[in-house]
Amino acid sequence: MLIGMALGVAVVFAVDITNESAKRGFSLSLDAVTGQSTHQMSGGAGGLDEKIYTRLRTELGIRQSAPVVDGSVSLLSTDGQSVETVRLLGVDLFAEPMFRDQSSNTSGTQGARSSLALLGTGAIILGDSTAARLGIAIGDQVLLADTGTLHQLQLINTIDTSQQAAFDTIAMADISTAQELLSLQGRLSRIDLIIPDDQTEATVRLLKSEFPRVQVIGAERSNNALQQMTQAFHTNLLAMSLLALLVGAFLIYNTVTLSVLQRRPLFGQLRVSGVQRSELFRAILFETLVFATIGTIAGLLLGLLLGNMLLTLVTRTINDLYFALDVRQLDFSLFTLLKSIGIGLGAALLAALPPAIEAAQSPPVTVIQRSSVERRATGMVPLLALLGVVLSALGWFILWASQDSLWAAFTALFSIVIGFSLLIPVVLVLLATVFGRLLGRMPVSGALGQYPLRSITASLSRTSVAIAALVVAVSATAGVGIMISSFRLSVSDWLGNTLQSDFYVRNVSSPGKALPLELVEKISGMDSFSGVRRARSADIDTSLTPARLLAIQNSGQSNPGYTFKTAANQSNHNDLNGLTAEQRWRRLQQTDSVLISEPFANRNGLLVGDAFDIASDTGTRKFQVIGVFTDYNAGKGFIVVSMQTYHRHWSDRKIANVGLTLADNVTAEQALRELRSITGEYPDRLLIRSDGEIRQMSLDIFDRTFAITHILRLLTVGVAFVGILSALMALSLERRAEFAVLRALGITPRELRNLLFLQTGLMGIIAGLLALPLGLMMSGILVAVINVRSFGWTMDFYVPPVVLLESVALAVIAALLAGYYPARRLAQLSPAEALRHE
Amino acid sequence: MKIITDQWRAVLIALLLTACSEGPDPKNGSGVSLHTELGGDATGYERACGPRAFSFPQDHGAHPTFRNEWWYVTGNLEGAAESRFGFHATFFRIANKQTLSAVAAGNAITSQWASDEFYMAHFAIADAASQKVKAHERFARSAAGLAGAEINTGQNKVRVWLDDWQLIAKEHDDRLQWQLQISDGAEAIDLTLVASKPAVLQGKEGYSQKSADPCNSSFYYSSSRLQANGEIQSAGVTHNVTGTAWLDREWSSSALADNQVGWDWFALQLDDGRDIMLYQLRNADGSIDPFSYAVEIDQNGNKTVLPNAAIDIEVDQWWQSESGARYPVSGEIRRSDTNEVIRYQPLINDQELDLTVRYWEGAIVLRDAQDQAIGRGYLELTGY
Repeated sequence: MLIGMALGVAVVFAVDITNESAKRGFSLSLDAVTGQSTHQMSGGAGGLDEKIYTRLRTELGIRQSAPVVDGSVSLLSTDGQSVETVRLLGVDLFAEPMFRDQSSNTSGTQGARSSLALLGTGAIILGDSTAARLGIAIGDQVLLADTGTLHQLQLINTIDTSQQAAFDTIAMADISTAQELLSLQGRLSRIDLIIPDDQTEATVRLLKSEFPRVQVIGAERSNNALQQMTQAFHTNLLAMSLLALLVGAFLIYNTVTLSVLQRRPLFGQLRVSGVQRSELFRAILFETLVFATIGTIAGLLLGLLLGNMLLTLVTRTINDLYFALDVRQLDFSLFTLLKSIGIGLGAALLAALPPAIEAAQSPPVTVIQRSSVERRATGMVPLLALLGVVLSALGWFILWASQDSLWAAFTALFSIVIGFSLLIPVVLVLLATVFGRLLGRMPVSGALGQYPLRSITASLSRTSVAIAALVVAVSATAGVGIMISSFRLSVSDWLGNTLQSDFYVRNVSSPGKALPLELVEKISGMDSFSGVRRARSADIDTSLTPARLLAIQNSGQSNPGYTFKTAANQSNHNDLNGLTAEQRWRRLQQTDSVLISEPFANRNGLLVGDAFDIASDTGTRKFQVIGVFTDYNAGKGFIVVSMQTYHRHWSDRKIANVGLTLADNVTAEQALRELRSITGEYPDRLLIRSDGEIRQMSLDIFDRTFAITHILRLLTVGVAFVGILSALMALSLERRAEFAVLRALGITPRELRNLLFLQTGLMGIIAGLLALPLGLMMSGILVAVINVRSFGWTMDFYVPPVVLLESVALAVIAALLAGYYPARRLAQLSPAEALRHE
Repeated sequence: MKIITDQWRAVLIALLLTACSEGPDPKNGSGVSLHTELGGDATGYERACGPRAFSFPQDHGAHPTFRNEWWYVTGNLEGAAESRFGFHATFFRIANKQTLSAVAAGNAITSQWASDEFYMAHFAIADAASQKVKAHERFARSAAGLAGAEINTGQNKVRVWLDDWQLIAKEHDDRLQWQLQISDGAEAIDLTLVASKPAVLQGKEGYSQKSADPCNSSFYYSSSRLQANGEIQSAGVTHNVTGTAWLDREWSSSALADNQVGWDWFALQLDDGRDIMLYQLRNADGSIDPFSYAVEIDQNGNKTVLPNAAIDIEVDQWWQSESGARYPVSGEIRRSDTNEVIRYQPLINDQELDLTVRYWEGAIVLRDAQDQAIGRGYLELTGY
């Protein structure tokens, strides 16, 4: 009972605190400034002209402003063996006090006096952990990994990363240093502003009229959007924990019920010897409470351990998918703690209540008889079944009726799962009858042949709960497994479709840094390639959720590589229905039209034919959506325009990357060699990747993302396993006398063990089989409803047979393993001894 | 993305705060401290070791080969209904050469933000009616157009600025005229300051020695009487004002000796048309340093340096600020050469400026031995 309680509580608590810590880390880091910074000025791909900042300060008197140059640099360790890529933030030390938050005065800086040195060009500050990995101390030279540039830096200070975890991946330097290193002379990445509430409108209007080509974005809006993006992820995690809770609750219920029922004879004797009903009732509840408390405490401790592990996975996933977030510390509120305790104790007490009432109210004699319980349990079966049907129906109804609420979808899912599990007793009874008849006709089976099956239904009150727990756990495994398989397949297909070129070249010297145009021309002229795809991307300002603009141009035999799903591309505009890829492409080049990614379309309720505003260099323009393409990038949405359109409305003429299609008679090795010899002439760090590499990297990220899901699945099964074990243990203890009689009748220990194995195996098979339809239903809901509602992704439904087989096998193995120990113990039972107690 | 922005910002600010709360001189307590800026290591900078030739308007502008420099304006103003104000506005130029290797060894740095000096500006208004002083401070690097001092010789104009605070000098009808424009929060000032006397070169032809080492000196000139006219805004209320102001210009690479802890500086504008400037450098042992200085400027701008022995100051009131520092805010200046007695009292006791460098800078009222008002002035007390 203790183990069961502890596991149940642990899973819920662990997921809860993980979620909370990740969110807390997120909002803490937000608060340090966004409590302060209200707006941002930014200017697309090339950033902002630095003179804008000078004008803000010296002419417009907007002093609550701070310039930022943002990019990334690779640093070389002193031994030259390793490279650390860090995010470089170029700042103006003097502009920062405006953003001072009274509560954020704690830092982990060392060597304080030297901070004015941060104004010096060449000075850099790193996290102490990063510095240690690179083998450099304060005062030492910091070497850049980029070859071809002669930049020299000096480490003037370090930040204690145990206090400021994000600094593990951040370097700070003066604006001048950052501009030099990132080749962004004259440019700023953005300007952070604090505009008092009562002046917001006037100031934003002033800024927009003074700097018409600059975007002024409310900081809150961009943060909210980020928060919303991860919200879906957190909700999904929470759902997984609730699933574990459901299984955990079954488990707790099962164990408590058993521990009470098991001692019915004792309670009966107590009643006979004059113990009052109320006294007995209180005693049972009190005892439950004591055990539940111990179990819950153990669960909380276990949950803490588990939470640490999960936190690493969660932050990594958020890092992979959304943005750099580093949370190293578990953090939880009293509320979370109370919630987990409440769940543990509540489930235990609720589970103990019915048997306690029953034990207390029944006349002493019937209390002693175990069979009376089973009679009542069997009587409940039709009622439970009815409730199950009602709940399932309710679930489907909610699913159908709710528009796009994620919570409704989860409620429906749980309703269906619980409804289904309530149907399990009736299914068991039916199965037993059917199988019983079948077995009965088989001459070999005899009386003992029917025994395992009958004994399952005979002790329905506990077998059904154990089986239900196993069914829910296994179906969750199957459902999530199918969902992940479907997802992975869709992503893989999508990558295959999207990565149409054989090689991709981009400049990794600094973000936002373009390829030398001359190089682009040279590469385009190479005979080894039959097609070239040029691309340029920029974060842009729309009135909608955050988005990235991607301008592309295809020449030769290069294929744009976008997949258009018909469902998402139905339009009220007839002229846009049924466009061929070629027609769509021509339209994209000639008109102000865009392709948008599916998540972006879903998040903003955009359909083909709709138009929306984008702030361009020529002012805010309307662009019409002519296609919605499949995209599995989390985070920002994508808006694709043709390079022609981009050049019509934006002054930026740079090319960020090119995709190259191999000519027919050229080998990849040969082309790569030629390519390398050309890129080698340039000092910039140019990265050449094959489509295969990108594909593999993407799938790696995908697999990492779902690592946490796999762990939760295993935990759920673990909880169910303990449930089955405890149910069987209790059963076997109770039926000692019964088995002793069997033994006395001449059944050998071996036969008895096989009998018991058969029984648990049967339970496993039944659970496994019952889990399949539920698992399929769950995966269907996950794929078709929950993924769409939380991420905006649609995917193909794909059921790998192996997942189904795995599920049944999992159930059987779990049941057999759980049955092994009780079976052995019973088999070794001495009949005389056991019977003597009767 | 946003996330990290926020974490680094907190750290950066903390970093700046530590810079401003640590330093060799705990009394002045700052990274930009009196001692590190006015004493200390002057390696790599030009030093004032003897007289030089002054030339205007160039010398109204910056002298970047020296470690530090200031444009110091103080004055007493009067508005309608006998409202009285003291004001103080200073632009400090502070070199911040870092002994770092160049970011691009062998390559010229092309970023417009690269700079080895920065400006600090202080602005304070003392309002007699509210008995309050409001002080503001700004910092900016002298790069990217954020702060600096530029000379436009064609227009005979010098502009010193930090953000949107500025002090512009120009010749007008052959008279030097300064325009001071500063605004911050509820305080603002927009004054035209017209010199009624020619600039006075302090010390020996503008070479002002501060200790036995001849190179512990500054170049120093003053415009001791400026007719002020314009607007002042105090606590959000704008007043038309007139009055007199004083401008000090000083640049040096090291001005204080190790045993000198601070100074008391007086700028006295007497109603009879004379101006007296005197400062007493205080040593760590409490004695007055022999390199202290006093000068009298007559109605026509002729200066007479007064021997230190002729000046005796007796303090009659000390005022203690919330920070615990005690300042001699009131007292009597006695001249043994003329037997003249000038009693000074602060317009407001609390004129301590609690800025990165903490000091007392305040308007004072001057009276004679018979308690008759005889003028106004400014008192600066540092190192307390």
